[in-house]
Amino acid sequence: MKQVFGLLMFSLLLFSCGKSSVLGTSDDGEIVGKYKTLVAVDNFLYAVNHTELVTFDMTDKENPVEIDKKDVGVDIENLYHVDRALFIGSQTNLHIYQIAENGIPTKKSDTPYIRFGEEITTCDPVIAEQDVAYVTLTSSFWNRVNGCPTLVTINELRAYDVQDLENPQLKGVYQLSNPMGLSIDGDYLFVSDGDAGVAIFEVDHEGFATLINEIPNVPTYDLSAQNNKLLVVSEDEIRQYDYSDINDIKLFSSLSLR
Amino acid sequence: MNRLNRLSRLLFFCTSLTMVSLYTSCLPDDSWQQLGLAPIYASPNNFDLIQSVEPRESVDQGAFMEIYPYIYINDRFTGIHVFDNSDPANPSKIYFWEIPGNTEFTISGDFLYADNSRHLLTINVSDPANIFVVSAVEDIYTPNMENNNFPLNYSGRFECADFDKGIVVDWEEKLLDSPRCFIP
Repeated sequence: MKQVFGLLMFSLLLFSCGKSSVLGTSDDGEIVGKYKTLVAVDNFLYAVNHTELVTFDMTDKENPVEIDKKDVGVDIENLYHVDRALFIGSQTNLHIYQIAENGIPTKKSDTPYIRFGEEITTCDPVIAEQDVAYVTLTSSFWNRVNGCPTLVTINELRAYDVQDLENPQLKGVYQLSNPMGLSIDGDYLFVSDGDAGVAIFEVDHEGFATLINEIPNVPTYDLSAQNNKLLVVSEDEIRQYDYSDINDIKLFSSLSLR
Repeated sequence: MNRLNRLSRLLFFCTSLTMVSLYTSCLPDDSWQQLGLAPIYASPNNFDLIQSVEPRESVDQGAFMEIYPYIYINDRFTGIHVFDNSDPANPSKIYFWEIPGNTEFTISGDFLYADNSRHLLTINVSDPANIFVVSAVEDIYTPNMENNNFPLNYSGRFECADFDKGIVVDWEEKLLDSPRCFIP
């Protein structure tokens, strides 16, 4: 009986993983979704597969040449760049690297999301602005409550102070429904909250965020915000909104992907 | 013998027969045939497969990028949908870039860097209607759970995906020989 239970639990964890992402915006006007694993920075291209960070020299844009490969961890899910720092979100950890002059990343820190004794399958994008990294965690894990195995779920947005890349400090935790992709524009942080819609926070750039508005009940997976335009992508459609008035967000258009 | 005895013997016989047949169907050298899904492979080294075609329905939406005036959205393991978003009040799908095995990409200048489940391809997209591969860095990506190893929205037997046969680009129904893989 115990073995069957264990097997069931294992398969649940194996198939339950959704995603994770890291946020930021690049300099040349491109807006990226948060489940990216390939990022171009100046003359370098960074790629993550499930366990490694690979660096390519792109001096010749038509011929990337591999110049470095590092083992990062396991279950890597996304890669984000801001200000020559690479934030890598995995199922269990936030890995931070700094890009040297020669383009080779050096490891700065490795912060686990989990606390000792818990087993979590987390699927978490991480994004960052200058000093703060934002991560969404959607995880289910089995824990013992009064001796009985209980499925515990976490659906939260976390903000880490990363002024010191070697010592990320957890500053805030905010409960949501099913948070996934996220995007930041100035003082506003937009979070895809699954079918619950879009949650909009005002941030103080030191790790604190206040929920100020939402676009309820629209399906969301990932989104991008720039120049007062929010693009929301879900399985069935893409929607675009005008947030020039953050208190009165208007729908520009919606287009079916099917 | 009395009726109860005969019945119980019959029951015992049927049960044993069932158990023996169940057992023998698990033996490695047993073979059978049944209808199920089989992978359709494409060669990861055939770059002629990468082309820009008419827009199509999205099946399995993945990562995206927005570089004015376009929006690019990955369709996992098949390619990238390209949208004209010059007027955000009126976006439209304009091309589909076929890239068998693709799940990751980034665009920088005239080039699209994209995987095909195996290699990292550099694709010239300066003309979105006519894209072509200019180079490839081989074997950056290795097989894993994400590699389209099983058919979506399906339960039943299927032929296990074989990494050495190529990239799985789709699934088709056919008569399978002793399919070992199964989705309950």
